[in-house]
Amino acid sequence: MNYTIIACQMLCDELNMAMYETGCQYPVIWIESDYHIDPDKLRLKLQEEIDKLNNVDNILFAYGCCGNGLIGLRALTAKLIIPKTDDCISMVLSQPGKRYERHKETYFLTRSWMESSKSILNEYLHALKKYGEKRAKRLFELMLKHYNYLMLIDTGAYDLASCSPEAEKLANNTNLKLIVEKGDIWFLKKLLTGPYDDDFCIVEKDTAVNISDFGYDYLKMPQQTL
Amino acid sequence: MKDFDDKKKLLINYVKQLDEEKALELANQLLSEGIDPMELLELMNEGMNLVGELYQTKDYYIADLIMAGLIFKQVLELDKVNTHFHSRFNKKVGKVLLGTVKGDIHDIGKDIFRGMLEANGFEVIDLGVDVSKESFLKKADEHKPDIVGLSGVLTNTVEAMKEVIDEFINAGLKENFKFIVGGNHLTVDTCRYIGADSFANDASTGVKLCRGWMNSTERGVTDND
Ligand code: B12
Repeated sequence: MNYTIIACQMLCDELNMAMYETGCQYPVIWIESDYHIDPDKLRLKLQEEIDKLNNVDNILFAYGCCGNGLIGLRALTAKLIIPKTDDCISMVLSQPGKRYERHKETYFLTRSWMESSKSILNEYLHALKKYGEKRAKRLFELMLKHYNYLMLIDTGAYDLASCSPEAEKLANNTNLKLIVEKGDIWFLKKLLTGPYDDDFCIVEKDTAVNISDFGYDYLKMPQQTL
Repeated sequence: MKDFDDKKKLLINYVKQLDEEKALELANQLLSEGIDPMELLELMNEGMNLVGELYQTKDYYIADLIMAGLIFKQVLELDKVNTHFHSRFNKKVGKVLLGTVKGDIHDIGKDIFRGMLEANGFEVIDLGVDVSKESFLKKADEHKPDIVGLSGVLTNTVEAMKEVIDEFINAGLKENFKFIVGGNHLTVDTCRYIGADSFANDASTGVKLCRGWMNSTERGVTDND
């Protein structure tokens, strides 16, 4: 059986750590995390990468449903295995066997979320440069008006201390309270080792990923056209 | 005339460039030169769409999306626009109860939909974000809207939207209102699963649907299937 992983850069620290801990050596295709801005583009990019693969039996995805970015994907000759979770935040904050509830009023950060080109930090710097401090503050008040906390998720896969000062600064500029919470990489480890039980969408070859695969309990829906 | 057309193009361009001052100034000027406020809003909309495209091609940031929303809102609030829509619709076209459903606190899209509804003469009661099914039911009972609008961008809001409608069914009140759901991820099938009368992936389609409902005298017809 040949395995290949297609992974979002947003999970780079966490997946690398999971690979190290499980001794997994499958090849990884890294996809730029900016694609999450537009789920339709993400879907096209992932399909393009799937279509390039040869001699692979199973494609593992370090992704969640990601705003429906994974819905409609299909591989002619390989099985697709996708964590049954909403997105990378729920992936690292959920616990095995428990239903995940997203924290209220909270914007989440990991090292990768902070370093991505469209991170909330870069958003702020951009707004500052383009609109000046007064207007930048006004725009951010609107953007984050329903937020009170900035949560740095300690996934154990990166050096928390090296991120804290930046996170602190960001929390100050946006008037949010910085909190730290433990996350986990169990989901990614299980993605690498199996068993591929009900925590995963298992999509047989030449079948399109359907929203019902994510356990949202929907009626089986016609496949989205790519 | 050519000058007038040039100004219209320029306005679209100012919105696209997110030049708040110049856009507002020119909007005011066009109004005093007699532009139909409805046409003005269409120009604004065109500019907003361009901003959306620039966001998708990664040239723009979220702050820019919000800035576009702010400019749009300020144009809606200009005296001439305001009075135009007030006198044109001195009786409100209809009443919409709107909110982002439980579990979701995204609201840029909801606010744009709200602004467009108001510009089209609707009265909107905005319940904000993370609104529970109980709140929707209670407020609907209190305000007696014609239409209930549910917004959500997270994929799992489909479940929350269904729960809201089930709540109305259980209370025996579903038939008293029209239900519209909105968000980028919604499809004909999710809409059917949710049990809403219709759905929209963009605000202007949503407004057209609402207007259509208000125009059809026969209430209670489902024009979605
Ligand atoms: C902007 C944005 C944010 C902003 C929101 C600011 C705000 N005040 O709303 C910020 C940065 C704060 C944010 C935060 C988060 N976000 Co966000 N965000 C987005 C983004 C990029 C755009 C959404 C948007 O505003 N689009 C612009 C508006 C205009 O479009 P729209 O919402 O579709 O609305 C239009 C129509 O749908 C319609 N409409 C809308 N409502 C209604 C209602 C009715 C009745 C009708 C008829 C029509 C209608 O009219 C609108 C205009 O045409 C999306 C990705 C995407 N492209 O969708 C991710 C996205 C939604 N976010 C996502 C995530 C993961 C998050 C966070 C968890 C990230 C984090 N690190 O913490 C947090 C949420 C935290 C929490 N506790 O909930 C994911 C969601 C994945 C999922 N689970 O489904 C997405 C899909 C990105 C991704 N692929 O990862 N986000």
